[in-house]
Parts: sequence; C-alpha cells; structure tokens
Amino acid sequence: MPIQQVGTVDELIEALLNHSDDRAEFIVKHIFPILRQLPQQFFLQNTADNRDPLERLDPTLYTVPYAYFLVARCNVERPEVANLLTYILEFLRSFDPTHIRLVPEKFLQVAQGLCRIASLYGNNIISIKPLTHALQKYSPSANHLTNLHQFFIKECLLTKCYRQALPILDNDITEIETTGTGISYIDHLLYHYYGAMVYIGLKNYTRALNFLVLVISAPAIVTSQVQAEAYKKFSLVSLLLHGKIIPLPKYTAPVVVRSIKNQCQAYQDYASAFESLNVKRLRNEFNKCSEAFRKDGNFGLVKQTLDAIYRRKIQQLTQTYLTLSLVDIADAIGLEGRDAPKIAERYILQMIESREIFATISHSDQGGMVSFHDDPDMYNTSNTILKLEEQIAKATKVSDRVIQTDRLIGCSREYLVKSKNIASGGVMPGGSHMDDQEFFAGGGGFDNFDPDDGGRFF
Amino acid sequence: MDTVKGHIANRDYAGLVNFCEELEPQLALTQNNTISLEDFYGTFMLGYLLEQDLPSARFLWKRLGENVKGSSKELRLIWDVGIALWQRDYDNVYKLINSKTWSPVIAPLMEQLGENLRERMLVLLSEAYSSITIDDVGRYLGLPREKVLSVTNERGWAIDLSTDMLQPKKNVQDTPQSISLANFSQLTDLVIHLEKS
Amino acid sequence: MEDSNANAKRKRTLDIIVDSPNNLDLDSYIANYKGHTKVDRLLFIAKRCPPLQIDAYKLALQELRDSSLDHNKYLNTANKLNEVLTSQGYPSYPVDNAWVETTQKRAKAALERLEVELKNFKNNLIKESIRMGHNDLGDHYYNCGNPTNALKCFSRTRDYCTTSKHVIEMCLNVIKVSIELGNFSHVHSYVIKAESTPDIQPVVQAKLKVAAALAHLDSNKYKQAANLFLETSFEISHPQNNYSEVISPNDIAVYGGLCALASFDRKQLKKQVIDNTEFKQFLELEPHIRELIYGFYNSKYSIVLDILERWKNDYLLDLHLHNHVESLYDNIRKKALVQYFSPFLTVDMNKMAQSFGTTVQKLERELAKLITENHIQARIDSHKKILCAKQQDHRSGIFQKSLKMGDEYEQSTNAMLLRMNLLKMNLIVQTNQKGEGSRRH
Repeated sequence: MPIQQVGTVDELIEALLNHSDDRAEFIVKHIFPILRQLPQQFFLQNTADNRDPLERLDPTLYTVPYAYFLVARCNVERPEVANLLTYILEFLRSFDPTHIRLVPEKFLQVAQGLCRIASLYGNNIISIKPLTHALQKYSPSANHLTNLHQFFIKECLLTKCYRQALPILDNDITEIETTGTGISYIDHLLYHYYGAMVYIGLKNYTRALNFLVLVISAPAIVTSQVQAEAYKKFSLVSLLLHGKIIPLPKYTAPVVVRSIKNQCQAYQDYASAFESLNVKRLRNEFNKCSEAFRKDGNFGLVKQTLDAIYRRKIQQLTQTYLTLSLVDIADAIGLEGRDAPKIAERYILQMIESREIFATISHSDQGGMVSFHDDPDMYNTSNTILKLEEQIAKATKVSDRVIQTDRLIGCSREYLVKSKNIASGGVMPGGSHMDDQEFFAGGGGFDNFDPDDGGRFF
Repeated sequence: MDTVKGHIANRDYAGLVNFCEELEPQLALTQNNTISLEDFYGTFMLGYLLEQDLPSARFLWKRLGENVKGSSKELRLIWDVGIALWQRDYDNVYKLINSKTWSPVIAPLMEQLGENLRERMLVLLSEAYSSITIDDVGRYLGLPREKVLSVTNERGWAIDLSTDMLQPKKNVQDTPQSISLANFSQLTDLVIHLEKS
Repeated sequence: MEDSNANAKRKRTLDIIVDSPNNLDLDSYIANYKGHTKVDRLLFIAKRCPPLQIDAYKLALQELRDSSLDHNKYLNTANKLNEVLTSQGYPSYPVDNAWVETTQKRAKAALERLEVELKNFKNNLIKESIRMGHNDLGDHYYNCGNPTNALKCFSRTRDYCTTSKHVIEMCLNVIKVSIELGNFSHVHSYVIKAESTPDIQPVVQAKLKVAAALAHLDSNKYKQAANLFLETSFEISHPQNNYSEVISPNDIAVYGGLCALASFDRKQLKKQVIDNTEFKQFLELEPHIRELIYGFYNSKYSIVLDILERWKNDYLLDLHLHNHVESLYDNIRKKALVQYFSPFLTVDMNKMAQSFGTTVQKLERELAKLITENHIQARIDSHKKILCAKQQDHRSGIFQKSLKMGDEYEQSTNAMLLRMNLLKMNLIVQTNQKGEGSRRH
C-alpha cells in the first residue's frame, strides 16, 4: 500500500511505522518521494504530544528518515548541542549501511553535522572515533572509497588526531564504485592528498610518497590544483627518501606533467640543488624560495631536507670509503666549525640506528675513525625465507585480483573508449587547465591546518 | 583507570595507547569525571614516548586544550622529556627524568622510559663503536662512571684504563639456519602454485 | 652543456701567460706553416709568451710583408712590437712605410679591377668565368686580411660549380676561412658536403679529416677528434700535398696522440694507435708523443706524467690546443689512475701517490672523485691508506633486489587497480564536475 501525503510529524511517523519494509527498493520507491518534498523546517518539529520524534524511530530500521531529521537539526543556527550529540552518536552506532548508501550525501551531512556540534560542544576530538567506526561500517569494503573518506581525514588533521586516521589510511584504496558512495574525482584526490599529510606528520614517508603519486598520476584531462600541491610535497618527500625526485608513473597525464613544470619550478630547482649534494647551493636555493615554501605549507619538510643532505652525503661516503676519520667526514659532507666532527659522529650514530648505513666508530685513534661495512644481513637465515614467502603470498593475492578486475573491465566497451581518449592525452576544447581554483579559493586554502608539517616540534 | 593500570603492569604500551585514544573523547564527553586529567594525559603521553611514537606524542601535545596544559606543570615537564628525545639529546633526557619526584602514576612509567632508553643505547653503542670513552658512554646511558663500568662489565665490554676507553662487545648475530623440513614444504607449495598459474 | 663548458674554459685560459716554452724552437716550429695560420700562430705566441714576443712579432711582420696584402695587420703588429721594444729599452723596428703605401694602392686597384671583371662575367652569363671571378675576388679579400668578405665570395661560387673538382675547391676554401674565423659548425657542414662528392683524391680526403677533427676538438669531443686524426693519411706530409696553411704533420701527431690517450681504452689504444702503421709515421715526427703513448700502454705512469709536464707549456702556446690542455691532461690522468688500479685487489696509496707525483691526501681526493663517478670500483681505506677493490656479493644483492621488487609490485599493482576502477567509473580530473562547490568546507 503506498504511503499517502503527510502533513505533520505524527503522520510521517505513523506512515513509517506502518510500513516497516526495509528493502532498498521500497525505500527508494516510497520513502524518498515523501522525505524529499518535506521542507527542512518540518524535521525540526516535535510530535503533537510534544515529544521528540527521534525517540520513536529506531535508527537501524529507519536509517534514512533518521538522517533527515539529524541533518535538519544540525543545520539550525543554535542546535541543542548535548541532546543532538547523543542522537548522532546513537545513529552512527546503529545505522543500516545498505540504507544509508542510498543517500550518501545525507550521510556526509550527518558527519559534517557531528563535527559542527562537537566543536560547539567545545571539543572537536569527540567526533573522531565515532566517525572511524561509522566509516568502517559504511564502506562496502576496507578498499572502497566513499564520500566520507576525505572529510574524515581532514577532520583528523584539524583535530591533530593523526594516528587515529591510520585504521582507515592503512588500507589501500583499490575499489571505486560511484553508486552508494557518492564520490567524484575530487574525493580520490583529496583523500590521498590529506592521507599523505597524515603520513608526513607521522614520518611514514614511504606511504606518504605512494599516496602523493596516486594523486599526481590520477587520470586527468585538466590539472587539479590538488595535483600541483601534491607534486610539491612529492618532490620533497622524494628527496628525503631517495635523494632525488623519482620518476612519475608513465601513465601520468601529459597535461599534469606540463602544469607541474610551469607551477613547481622552485621545487624542481631545489631538488636539483639537492641532487648535486652541494650544501652551499642547497642553502642558497633554500633562502631564495623559503617564502614560497612557507606559503605552500611545506616549510617543515624543506627544513628536513636541509638535514637529510648530510645523511645522503654520508651514505655516498660509504660507497667510496672503507675507513675515514670523523674530521675528514665532517669536511667531506660540508660541516663547518669546531664541533663539526662531533656533529658528524651524531649523524653517523643516528644512521647506524636506523640501519641506513653499517659502520663502526673507533675512538682509539686521535679524533675518531669510522669503518664502513656492507649490510651484514647475508640473507641466509630462515628469516629471509619467511620474508620472501610473505611477499610471494602477497603478490599472488594481488595478481589474482588484477586478473579478476582485468576480465571485468576488459569486457566493458566504455572503458576501452575512455582509456583510449585518456591515453592520447586529449584536452577538452576550451577547458582551462586549472579547474578547481574556486575549490580552493574560499576558506583560506586547503592545507593550512598545520603549517609546520611534521618537520619541527614547536 | 583500572584498565590503564593493567596495561602498565603488563608493559603493554601499545594497548595502553590504544585504550587512551578511545578514552580521550569519552573524557571530553562526560563533563565532570573522577579521573584526573593530569594523570590521564601524562600517562597517555608517556605511552606514546614508550612506544617511541614521537610524532603522535607531539600531536597529543598540540591538541591538548589550554586549560589542561596550563593547569598541569607536570604535563609540561613530561613534554620536555619528549622534546629532548625528539632532539636526540639523550643526556638531557636522563637529567629531566631525574630532575623531580614524579606523581605516583607517572613515576614507574618514567623509570621505564629511562630504562628502555638505556637498553636501546647499550645495543646501539655496542653495534656502532669498537672503542668509545667512558665519559661518552656515561652520557648516552645517563649513568655515573662507576655505574657505567659495572653495567658494561656485566655485558662483557673490555676496558682500557690507560686511554679511558671501553671496547663494546658486539651482539651475536643469528647463525644461518639450514632449510628445515617445514621450509621445504612451503617451498613445494610455492612451486605448485607457480605451475598452476 | 659542452658548449657552455667550452666557453667557460675559453674564458679561463684567455689570460694564461706562459713564462717560458719547454722545447719550442720558434724558427723551426713556424717553418712548418704558411699563410694566415703562420701569422695567427705567431701572434698567439706573442700574446701568451713574453720571452718569445719580440721574435714572434718580427717573424709575423716578415711573413705579412712577404706574402700578403694585409697592410692593416702589418701596421698593427708593428705598433705592438714597437711598444714592447720601447718598454724594454730597445731601438724600435723600422716600419716599411713604402711597402704599406704601395700595398694599399695595389690592393685597391686590384679590388676595383676584380669587381669590374666579375661584373662583366655576370653580364656574359658564362658560368665558369663567374665562378673564377668570385674565386679571384675571394682570394684577394683573403690576402688583404678580410676573411668575412672572402667567405662570402667563396660561398657564392657554389652556384657556379660545374664539376666535383669545383665543389671541392669551394669547400676547401670555405673550410680554410672558417677555421680561421673559428666557425667550426661551418667547417662540419662543408666537410660533409665535400665528402659527398665523387672521386675525392686521398690528399683531399686527408685534409677533410683533419678539418673535421679540429672541429671536434673545438667542441671537446676528443674521441671523435682522435678517430679522425688517426685515420689521416701520411700523404698530407708530402711537400706538394701539405696542408700547412692550416696544420702541420707534427700537430697531427700531437693532437691525435693526446686526444687518443684522453679518450681511448687500452684495447683501442693498442689497435688504433700502436698498431696503426700510418699514424706511426706521424709519431716519428714527435718522438715524445710516441714515448708517451708507449709509456701509458706499458703502465709507466711516472714517465707519462713527466712527459706531459715537460711539454705542457708548448701546448699552452698552440693555437688550437691551448683551450684543451687542462681537460685533456685531466682525462689522461684519470685514465692512468683507473688503469693503474685495474689489475689489483688492493693498492698501497703511498706507492700510488709516488707514481703519480702527488701527495697521499691529494690522491685520496682524486680517487674519491673517481669512485663517486663510478670510474673505479673500489673503496678507500683512509686509515691505512689502501685502495681496495669492491667485492660484490651478488647473492645478497639479488635477495635485496627481489624483496624491494616485491614491495614495489604490490604497490604498483594496487595503484593500477585503483586507476582501472577510476577510469571505469569515469572519475577523471576535468572541468565543472558537479558537486565540487557544495563540498567546500
């Protein structure tokens, strides 16, 4: 029996309770039309006997209408903070994921509402854990991207809850499904960009670099500002990890490669100064561009590269020398001053601990002498076999997935047409190369939460 | 707080940190709670430090409300230990740890932090040095000379008093293992898999 | 990169003054040349080497007066000479003003005559005459010391060449003037043009090779230069065939020998230099270069370094070589260091330093650079001053590599999966996708 027109909250509740059919088709066919036509104001009302309608709705059974009530209430000028918070947390615990996937944008609005309420409540971090659990439930799988992902990670950055983002970030996104997740390309770009910022903050540069590469190499016919910003961070993280800018994947869109050349010249110049391993040159380049680096929110990373160049130089010395005195090392890596050998010794000790080099320091000789060794791991322990096996197992799993996806996609005609267009690097006629300027224009930039991006302490 | 104590007793600092991360928002939700914020955040911070997760300790400090930071002198001092660790100023870490009598909740954790660092340094020094002055070792371990001599003597480090040098004893490396039967069967599985695909 | 390097080097050597030549005997040296290169070489030496200044100027003046119409250069040179003489308290050189005057008149008259003739030829439309007319005018300009105009005239004959002999004549003229002007890209293209004509005589062939070699030398391409010098026929040394308006056979021995040492490996050295009977004849002219090459080949490095040192000043006074002395010497030294170490597992750096006439400290720095640049597979024991060959542990290397590859494989495969799915869902960065505006936080 179809639900009639409803005029009051009581009528709506009656109608819902009488039709407790929780199949998705039913909701789409019968519940949506009603909810959609109701004004926001409607969801702010109480029942005739002045009770809160949410008291009468079970958030599991009536996930979608419940969300409508919550969103409307979050958006008023002065929400009832404490009360609403309880309802939202209850909802996030017990919502039905198959229902909420019918209205992904509502779910995002609830999450945004939660953060607003939490901040009104006086403590933003309230939202982080509930959102984590909600997101895990909401995602079709841990490898799916949803419209909540980038919002959540951004919230983690804003509330300085970096480590708390890891349960989400540590799963690689491989699945993209637009229905039920409400995502657009920008979700992918921002999620991986923000994710990289979290990893940078936690000094997991390997994963940060992977994430940034995903952003830069995203399929594109114009360049997003996010991609340009990602490249800036990518170049610096790449220097920290590899001592040079590693090549981008071959499939990186030509238009992106071009914009990077135009927009990130300072970073490329800085990187080539680093690659020359000339400390003076690097410092010059640093002084020249420090204002730009600061403006981009990359100052902390850049500062770390100033330190990393010494370690990179020491690493080079291990390729050249079997033994070298601390005085000579300090001299060779460009340290100056009376304390230079002591500072060099500290670098070496630090690098031995992080297994970047293998060396022994001897103070029996005047001033100290360092012997460099090869990696003592001879790869002949059972540990090696274990490691290899682990990797083979992982590789087997991944390649099975590829074969499966490949088959699915290979059959789709539209995929073939699209990939052909993308491969030829066609730019849409009249398309500006910078599409989402507007996206960043408001609100003072998108990465300004943490200007000292993990580089320094204070 | 009982769960916290349980984790501390078991030296399960990863569990401690995870638990604290769950508890943190709950504390924020319940306005008038019985738990001392000073003790909670102090424990939380030390949990990160013991886990050697300095970035997370730093972000905890950053997200702490001014009311908490301002009201607790001890928290600030714990944080100073974190800064010294970040700067690898180990000498200062020990000095800071010993600089005051910590509250009963914090004291055992602080002691553990110093103990862990000392152990870590002993391993590192024995790997990195073939000879090093007794004074330097003292700085890395935060111990006076006699203590240095006894600790290193226990580990079999040689001493040359004429030069005031210690010669650390290397930790013994794993001996290469021959392929056991278990490994062999795993290898067989692999070959079967490769033939299949 | 190479060009800017060359320029930088040129600037650096510009001011190098050679206190005294090593073995250079100006009279016998300069007797190998004729024409402009003779004058240019003398003036170059005069500029760079104070002790030879007066003699060089005098010889240049004599050459100019005897076999050119270049009264401007004559007067300029005379003025310079007199400045030097006066400053050193010598009586000044008697300038032959009568010669200057008559030459001026003669040159002017000849120019007018040649221009009228050419005009007439053009009116008569006889190709061969027009070609000759341009050629004569070119020769005249050349004689008067106006290479730019000479080049124009010689180039113009191009349209009137009817036989391959004409083409070659034209090319050789252009090449000669271009070398003088230092325009070596021109030299390259005219060498190619000449070589593509049929029936080239061996002597012409030799001249072309030498010209091309000089062009390569100019752009620091020592290996190409060496190859060409080494292929040059000894025919070029015969009095009736010589190329003394550009280069002497002695130069070929020196340039070729040094370029080969700087760029060849041991095997090439044996095959292309030591076993090269043609080049042997050149080497007879400069026995020290032969000694140098044999010393290098036989790993007698102190001899090599000694010879190089003993001739360095002379080479710094060479019109074509001076820019390259430093980098040729550097390369030879580098190769010697590499070769010295190659048969050993360990080398005592004290002994090595002795062989290379340097200190251990300096040697260590040189070696470190060579190792960094991957020329030597070794590591330095700075404490014991020993150079040790790098021992590769292939097995560990392979394990390391495969573990790394495993990580990369997982990462890149996940990235590919994501990419495929993005494409499938049409999530491509593009303009005006709906929903962006509303997502601003």
